[in-house]
Amino acid sequence: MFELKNVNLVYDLGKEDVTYALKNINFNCEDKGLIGIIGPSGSGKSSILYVMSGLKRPTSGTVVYNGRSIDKMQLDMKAGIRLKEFGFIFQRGFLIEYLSVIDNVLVPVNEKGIEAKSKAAILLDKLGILKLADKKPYQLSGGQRQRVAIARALINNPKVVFADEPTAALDHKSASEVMQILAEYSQSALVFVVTHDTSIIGDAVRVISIWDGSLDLGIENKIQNTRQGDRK
Amino acid sequence: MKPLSAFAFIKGSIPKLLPMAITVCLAVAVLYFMAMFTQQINTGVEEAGIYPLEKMSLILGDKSGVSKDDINNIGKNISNSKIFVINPIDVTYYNIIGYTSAFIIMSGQKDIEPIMKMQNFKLIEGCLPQKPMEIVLNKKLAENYGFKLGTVIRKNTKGWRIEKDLKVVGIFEGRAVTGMGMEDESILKPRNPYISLLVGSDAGSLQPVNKYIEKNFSGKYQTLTLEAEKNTLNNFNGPINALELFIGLVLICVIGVFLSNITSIQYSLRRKELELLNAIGYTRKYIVKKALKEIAVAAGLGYIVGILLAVALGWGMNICFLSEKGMSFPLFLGGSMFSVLIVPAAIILFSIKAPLKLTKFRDLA
Repeated sequence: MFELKNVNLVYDLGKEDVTYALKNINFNCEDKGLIGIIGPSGSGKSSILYVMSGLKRPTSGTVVYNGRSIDKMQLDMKAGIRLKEFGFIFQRGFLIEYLSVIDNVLVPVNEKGIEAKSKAAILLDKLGILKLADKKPYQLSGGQRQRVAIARALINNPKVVFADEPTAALDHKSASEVMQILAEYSQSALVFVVTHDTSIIGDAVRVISIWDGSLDLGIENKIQNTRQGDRK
Repeated sequence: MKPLSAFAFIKGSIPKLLPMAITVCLAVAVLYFMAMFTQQINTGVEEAGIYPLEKMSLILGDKSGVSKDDINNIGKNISNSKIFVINPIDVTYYNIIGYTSAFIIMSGQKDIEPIMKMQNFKLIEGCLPQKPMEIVLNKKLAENYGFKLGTVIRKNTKGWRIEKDLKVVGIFEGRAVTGMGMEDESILKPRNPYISLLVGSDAGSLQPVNKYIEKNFSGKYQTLTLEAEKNTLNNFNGPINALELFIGLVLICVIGVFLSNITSIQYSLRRKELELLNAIGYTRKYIVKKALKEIAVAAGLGYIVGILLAVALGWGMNICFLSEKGMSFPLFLGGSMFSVLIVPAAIILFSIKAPLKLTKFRDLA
């Protein structure tokens, strides 16, 4: 589904000291499953998500999604794919404060009919926050806000979910619940979870490790071997 | 694409745009009030200068250098009810609003009998004015308003534009629908003391009078024609309008820059919201359109409230101060209302750069 070929993302291009956010990234992945992206702060984890989702254009290299090169698409086409095929969960949820919970969930939906509202209600119910549908974001706890963000990300049944540190602001219990929901969704779609906490990606089919903008294949293989050992 | 329920974007964001709406409101109110003020000055000048000339044709003075022989010649050679022989230095006029050609001419001369005789007015009731603010009225005019001897026409009498109460002491018959009185010298508003002859209206019946005066006297005495008076008025209006335009432009630029900064700050506070919409798949064009809509709603509301504020202020001033002086702000000026639209338009133009700048995705960390 995704293929990254020699992707580089460079900041401060043209200045004396350039900064590589991503350096020669190559990998591909299938169309479903949970993929963890780990690494320390500033290693380039979020940059991979932004490049894959078309929010940032790589300085060089290509990002191919379903056979189409995302970085060469027109802005409107990229926006259309993000709206219809991708779902996003950000670290602090980023809900629109003046909208109710259900309206926040419906933000990415084109048609606001009863059908869409029912779908949003089912999702909220599944996430255990249906009773909060009419509340405003500032009335919610961190865990509840993140669930709203998940509902918003899943409302269009996206083929790919990009979750950037989805549990960073949550306690352990809420973090496990959020990851459980994402793992469940990854049965039928591709879910990328960026985190620096390896304990939350136990359900990942693959873990990509990034260090200073480059893939750290040593750690990735080590994690894979450990997991295979655990399964035996 | 409709990501948000109807007007949710606007509903939620209007409070954030309140400073903009208030500033637009104040700017519009100031500009529209200035327009009303200028209009009032123009009207005042017109009434003082143009209107008497249009209606009366000729005022000339026996104290203004015009010889008695010439006055007699004029009297003999022209027959028109609207010729008055008064010293123009000593007269003021009170308008009777809504009654064509009707003036109360107030003279500083103590004896107005010669003037009455010259006009061929015949006193049929009462006496001639002996004291300031006493008047004699044309019979038709008195009948029309139901005024009798002893009636006091107060300054708030409907349809009259006067500054002091007038007492009716006599009724006369004559062709002119007007009245005469004796003015309190302390409130006389002298006209140009060098004017000897005022040549008035081009209206059909008065043309012979004007032609006669111009032909026989324009070389001999300084005359003031209606055209010259209009030129004076235009010369007066020009600087006023230019000043108004200048203040308006400065105001718009200052407020524009000020608002542009306010909008930048307001949208900076909402940067995450705009970036979020951009990230989840709404185009910059779409988001900017939404932002433009809410700026337009805020500016539009400011405009409407600003006009209402200026009208309310003008109305209040009319009621409290101006009406008793025989003046009033014109409250509804279609052209000015349209011109003042430049404020919300400029504000929208100045303000749009902020959302344009902020919809570019940076980093939603």
